[in-house]
Amino acid sequence: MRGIVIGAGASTGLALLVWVLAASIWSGEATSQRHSDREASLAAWDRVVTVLQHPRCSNCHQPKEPLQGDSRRRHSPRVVRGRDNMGVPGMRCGSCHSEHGNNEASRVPGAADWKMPPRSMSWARLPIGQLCRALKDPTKNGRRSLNGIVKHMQEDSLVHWSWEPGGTRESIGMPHDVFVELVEEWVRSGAHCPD
Amino acid sequence: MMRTSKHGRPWTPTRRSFLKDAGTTAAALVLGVHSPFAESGQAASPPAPAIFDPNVFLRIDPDNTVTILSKHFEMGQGITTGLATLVAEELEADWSQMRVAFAPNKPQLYRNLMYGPYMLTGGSASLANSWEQMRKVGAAARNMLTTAAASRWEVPAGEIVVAKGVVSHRASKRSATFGELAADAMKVPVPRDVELKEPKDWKLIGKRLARLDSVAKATGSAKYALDMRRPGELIAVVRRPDCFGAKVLSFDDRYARSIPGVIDVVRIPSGVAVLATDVWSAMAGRDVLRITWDTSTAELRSTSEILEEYGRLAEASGTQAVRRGDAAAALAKATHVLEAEFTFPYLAHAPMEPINGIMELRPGGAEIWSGCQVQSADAHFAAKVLGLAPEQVKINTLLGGGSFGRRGNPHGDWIAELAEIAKAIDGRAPVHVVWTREDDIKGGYYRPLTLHRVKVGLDASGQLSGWQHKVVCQSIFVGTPLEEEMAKDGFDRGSVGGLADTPYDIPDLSVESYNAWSPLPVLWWRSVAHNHTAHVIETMLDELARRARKDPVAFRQSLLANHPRDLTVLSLAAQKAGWGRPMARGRGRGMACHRSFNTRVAMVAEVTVTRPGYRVDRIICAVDCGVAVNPGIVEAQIEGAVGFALSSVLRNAITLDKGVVEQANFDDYDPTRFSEMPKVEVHIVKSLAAPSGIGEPGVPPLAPAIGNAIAAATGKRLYSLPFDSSLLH
Amino acid sequence: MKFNVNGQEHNVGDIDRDMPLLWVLRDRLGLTGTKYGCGRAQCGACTVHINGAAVRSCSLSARDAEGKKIVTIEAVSGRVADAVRSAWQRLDVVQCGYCQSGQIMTAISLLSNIRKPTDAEIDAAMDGNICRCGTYIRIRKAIHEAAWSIAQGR
Repeated sequence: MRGIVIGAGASTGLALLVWVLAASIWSGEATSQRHSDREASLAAWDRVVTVLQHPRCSNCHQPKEPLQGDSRRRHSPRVVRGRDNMGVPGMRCGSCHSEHGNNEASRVPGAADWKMPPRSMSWARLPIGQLCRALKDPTKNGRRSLNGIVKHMQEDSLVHWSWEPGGTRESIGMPHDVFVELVEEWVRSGAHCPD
Repeated sequence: MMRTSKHGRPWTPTRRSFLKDAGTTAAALVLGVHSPFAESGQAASPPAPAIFDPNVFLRIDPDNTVTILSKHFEMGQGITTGLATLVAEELEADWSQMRVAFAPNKPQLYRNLMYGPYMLTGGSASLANSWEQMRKVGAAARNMLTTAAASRWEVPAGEIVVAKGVVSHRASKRSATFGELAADAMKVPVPRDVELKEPKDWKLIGKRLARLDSVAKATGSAKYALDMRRPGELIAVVRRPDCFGAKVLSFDDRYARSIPGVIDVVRIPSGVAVLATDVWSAMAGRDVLRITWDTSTAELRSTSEILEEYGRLAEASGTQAVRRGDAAAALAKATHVLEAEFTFPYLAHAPMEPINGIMELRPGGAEIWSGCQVQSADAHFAAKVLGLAPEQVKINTLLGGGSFGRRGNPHGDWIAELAEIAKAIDGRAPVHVVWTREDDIKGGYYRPLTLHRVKVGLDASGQLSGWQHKVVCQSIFVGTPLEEEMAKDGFDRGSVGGLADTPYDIPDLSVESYNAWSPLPVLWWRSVAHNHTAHVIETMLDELARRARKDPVAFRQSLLANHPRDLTVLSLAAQKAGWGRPMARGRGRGMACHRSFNTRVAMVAEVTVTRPGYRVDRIICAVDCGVAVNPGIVEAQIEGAVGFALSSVLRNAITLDKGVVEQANFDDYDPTRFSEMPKVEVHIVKSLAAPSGIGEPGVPPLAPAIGNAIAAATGKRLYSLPFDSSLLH
Repeated sequence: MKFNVNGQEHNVGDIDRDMPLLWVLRDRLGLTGTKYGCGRAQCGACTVHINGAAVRSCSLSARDAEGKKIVTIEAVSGRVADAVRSAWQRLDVVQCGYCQSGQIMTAISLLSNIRKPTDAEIDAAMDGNICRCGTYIRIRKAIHEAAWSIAQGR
């Protein structure tokens, strides 16, 4: 806080000097606090986004049809999103993806409530800055607050599935609780987005 | 093309070899004296006359149903409906009383009249060889029913009328159904000869009769081999090597044996079989087998290496399949020379019902239940494994869930494997060998990997001037019992079918054939060599036409002047497609015309170029298959061939990586899907010529028609299959 | 284990709880109308109805199938099923027929939810059912015809 201190004489001048010095250190601290907040936020984001861009997440966060596999190929058999994001009559997501979990016999992954996220939550080909901003945007993210985003990462059945995808599918590289902590840290430190 | 066998008897090569133009269909073609599938003790001889004894081919039951015993295998092509139509026509049966069952494997009664002594279905020859025979069966039966009625009613046979399953005598107002007369009729001596109806009197032939198998197949009640269960049977799944030609060195089955439901584990020549009480347990048991393999005799190359070898082979001279005129000289004089190389990948047949079959052993014999397409070969190989005579092997032929050539294997592969398993357990239970989809995709017997190198010339006036053609692929017959017949002197005639016998007027033509070899087994894939030769011929003709600034249809017409039936389908397809009418930008039309198995098919493809590649919108087809016994089935076979062949144009390929097949299931060997199917219009040429078959001829023209349409739309020519559409952008 | 199939309770005794429903139906209950084509949910030949919806029985374990109402091709019934079967037969859709149980089950599911499907809706519903014989054109026609006859009240 900068104030104008009217003082007299050297003591005032010294006090002023001291004050100014203190103030500049504090604001520097605030600035560097803001800097380090932003840095910490971006650092957390850098790690969070590797998960979001991982095939387990990004395969379904697509605008039209989901992708499939670690190689992100076109989904086979062909499927379409459908009005409710759960496929179409005759070919619902649930026709193959069991709500009870992964089916090792057929190697078809499964989890409760298997479906695509809404189109607005597509991250396909988004650079990480735009992805970040889209994630935070309540008009796109299902009206979620930042805490709501944390809750999604913490509780959603399909997010949990990404850590136990079954078959030979690659699981997410870091433990789930570490991931959630990083998301929390990102939020705590201001939920900053890279440019 | 007549050759003389070792014993001096004339014989004509048939089946999967080129046939001379015109008039060969009716002749009973004989395979050579080295009859590999001959019944024991039977000396090869000229074929006995066709049997038309109704007692052999018909059963009329008291409930008035008429059951045809089909000597041919039903794999979807509709032959059972076709055969029943021929019989019903002359018999004067009502279509609603017709049924079909499969004949027992008695080649002396049920042989394919175009394949010597053998009982088999293939070469699109079923209707062709049955055309006269089955109508005579019907006519003879009608004759015998009439005689029985005349005798019963004591009236002159000439006054008796037979129509719609009813035999009647107007004057005395008497009538009886077939069912009521059958017992007496079948005791009447079979007439020595019978008269057949004139086409103008046909009531059933040429009509869109309902398929006889539609109801069962649309209600889930049709039974395939996989649906059969013999009492006490054990399901067997086999772990085969990843690399073709590898052998089992050692195996550890203790984990497999500990799986509940697993009963036994046995070693057989093709690998290690796990036997269990149900399919799931057998598969689970196989998953935990531990096997070490000896790969010293195995194919360990990648596809690219094999193709490189093919390229090297093609640099030398091959076996001359055709030498007409002087192609080299004609090319030397040509003003334009076009050269191209085409590659065609290994292709799996991938019928929807995977290979499977049941065998029961009993003293002095064996009984099989399976979708058997070449019963003579199957009985031969089962007998060989079991130390029996072929007559001691009884085959119950069942409906097949698709084949496309896979079930008609001159190696009798899965039947021999089944017999090995049954033998290994001393026949103590019936064995049901089941191939999974992965077994099927990875199991070999593919359409051979094939390389074509072609050089064609045009003179100054835009006429063909020389055609040099080299074809490198594995022989389907070398190394099999049919080698002597089909691949004498190492030259496999089947590899150049459609090319060596092309009807196009090419005065200076050289065709060289090269047999490559690999332990990887190969097999005919719907239309055999035509599925690659047609593509090359029709693509090059198209390119020649464009270079000569001639219309592609007119260019072909000028080369077919002596072949009116071929000209007719070509012109009909062009006309129905509106050939010559301008197309919107980004769209193109392509023509291909090809004769195979004596049936002529012309197709015009319409495509639209899209961002990722192209879309096939419509196929307009003209077909001359002689009499179209059931036009609905003819159309279905053309639609089906388009759907089937399209997968080989769009994407299908079996590839090897260091000898291991890279594909496993329908996700990486994805056939044509519903949304990719173009519209198909079929125009059947009205003909009274004997039917020539429709199971295969729809395949060869599809790929080149599409390629030519793409070239018309983009100016870019795609050669090898599957088309790489990234080359278009 | 117990299964409710085609309106009846069936006790199949002790089986591997991981056994796909497909093999329970085929090997334990003798209901072979539902077919094995790939075992990986790629082809649709194994399609049954569970609580009214089309489900690939190769991808549902016995454990997860217990307690659900399962209907197979042998017993599927109702106006839509009748119309679909009739159209299939009238148009001679089938060739080898092996995939057709699955095609029909998927088509019934489609028409039970969309009365008059467009070609695009038919594509989307049917793209997951493979036919190697190429009967797709007739399947499409049969679906349109079934929709029409249902609308006519036939």
